[in-house]
Amino acid sequence: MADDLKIVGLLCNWCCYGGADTAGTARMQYPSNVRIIRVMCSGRISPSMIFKAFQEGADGVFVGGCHIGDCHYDAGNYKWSRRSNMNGFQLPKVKNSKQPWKNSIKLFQS
Amino acid sequence: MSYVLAKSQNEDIHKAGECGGAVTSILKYLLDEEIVDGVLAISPCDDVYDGIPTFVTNSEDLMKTAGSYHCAPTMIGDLVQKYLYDKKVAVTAKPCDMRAIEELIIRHKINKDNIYVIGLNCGGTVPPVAGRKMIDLFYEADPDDVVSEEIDKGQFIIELADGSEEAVKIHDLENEGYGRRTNCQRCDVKIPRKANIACGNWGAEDGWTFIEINDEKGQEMIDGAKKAGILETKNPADPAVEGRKKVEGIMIKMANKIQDKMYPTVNEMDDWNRCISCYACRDVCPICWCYENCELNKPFFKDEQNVPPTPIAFQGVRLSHMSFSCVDCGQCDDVCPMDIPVSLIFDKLQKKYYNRTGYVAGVSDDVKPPLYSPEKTEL
Repeated sequence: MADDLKIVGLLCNWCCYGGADTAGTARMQYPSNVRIIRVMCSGRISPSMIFKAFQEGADGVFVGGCHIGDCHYDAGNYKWSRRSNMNGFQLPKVKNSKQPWKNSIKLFQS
Repeated sequence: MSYVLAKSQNEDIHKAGECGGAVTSILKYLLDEEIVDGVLAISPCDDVYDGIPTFVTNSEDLMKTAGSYHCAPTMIGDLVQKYLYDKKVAVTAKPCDMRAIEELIIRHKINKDNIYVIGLNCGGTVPPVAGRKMIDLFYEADPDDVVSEEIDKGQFIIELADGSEEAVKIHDLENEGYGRRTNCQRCDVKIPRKANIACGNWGAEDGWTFIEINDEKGQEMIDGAKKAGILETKNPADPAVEGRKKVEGIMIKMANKIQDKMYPTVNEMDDWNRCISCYACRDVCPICWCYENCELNKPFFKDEQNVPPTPIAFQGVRLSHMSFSCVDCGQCDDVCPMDIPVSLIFDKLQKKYYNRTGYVAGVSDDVKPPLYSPEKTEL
């Protein structure tokens, strides 16, 4: 990954942030240009936060949440997945991740 | 749902109204019987290019509002919400007004029990300034001589003070960049079926108004007006109903064609780069109702002074807040000082959202826009 890219990572406390944390304690490397912001649930993220990140000069935004059906708060990730679909429409030029949810530790290894 | 043909029993209203004065008669009935506190309708100011939304509380003043004004595009939804929330009102609404009212009812900003909506079928509106220019260029008439205008059978017809009529095909006008507003050209909701009744001249004989009754409240209105002796009704013949359906079908087909042509022409980022963050589109939008609590007023969304604004946050936040509820009224286009096709961008997204979820803003029966539904399903 190019060093001058800035990526904002909005990570769910219960999965993706835990994954990043575990990767850190296991002394695994992950790209230093990801700026991590911990949120309690991906359902807490509003599209405004994504747009704010782009306004402040981020080149990309990464959102990590639990597997569908595994949400700590029952249905938060369903809500975000719906919103992110809308965001995908709204940001035609910024490539919005259409990847299915991945296991967070694996994602940080790759 | 049922159909009737109606005309006014009152001589004066019959003359002043567009086709038989049925709408004005129903409004008069609602006012006289004190079913509503007032009527919100458009009345002309100096000429046919200038319409002012007027709150009428006396049925004698109603005569001023009779007739239709295609060159005076207005939006009723946010007026009802801002100034008439606690009053019982009757409003005349074209389809986009009705869609805005419906979206605001969903948001608990308008009380459904307090509002009587008389829907008007709409083939489109014409921007007033371009309208004057158009009449000057294509009709070779003085725009100030026009006493009334009408859109019928694909033609824009003007009537001059000396009684003569002139008609030009809308298609020809639009090819030259005149004619209806761009949002009206691509609008595919021509009959406000969410209104209590929907009135229009499609399929009706001369001097009669074709009314589609959509719910019980609408039926009560018609029955009451009939009983009060102000309205005369008869059942339409089958060819009339068919004819109306055909007119609507043709209009929607044309709109869909224009949509396919228009949507690919817009490039969001290029257009937004012109944005000066004046907030005019937000302030005029009938769906944006937060006002001082708007998220965009928060200090972290304010741009720095003396640098060109970065519009991605401003436009993006507005898109994510209400684009799925865009009723395509075109007010944002009208106010934009940089001529950004705002409503085209929003409407394009609404269509994408419709393709994904089947939700049409202000038309679908869903209680909530599905974006906010708590159901555990993915789109």
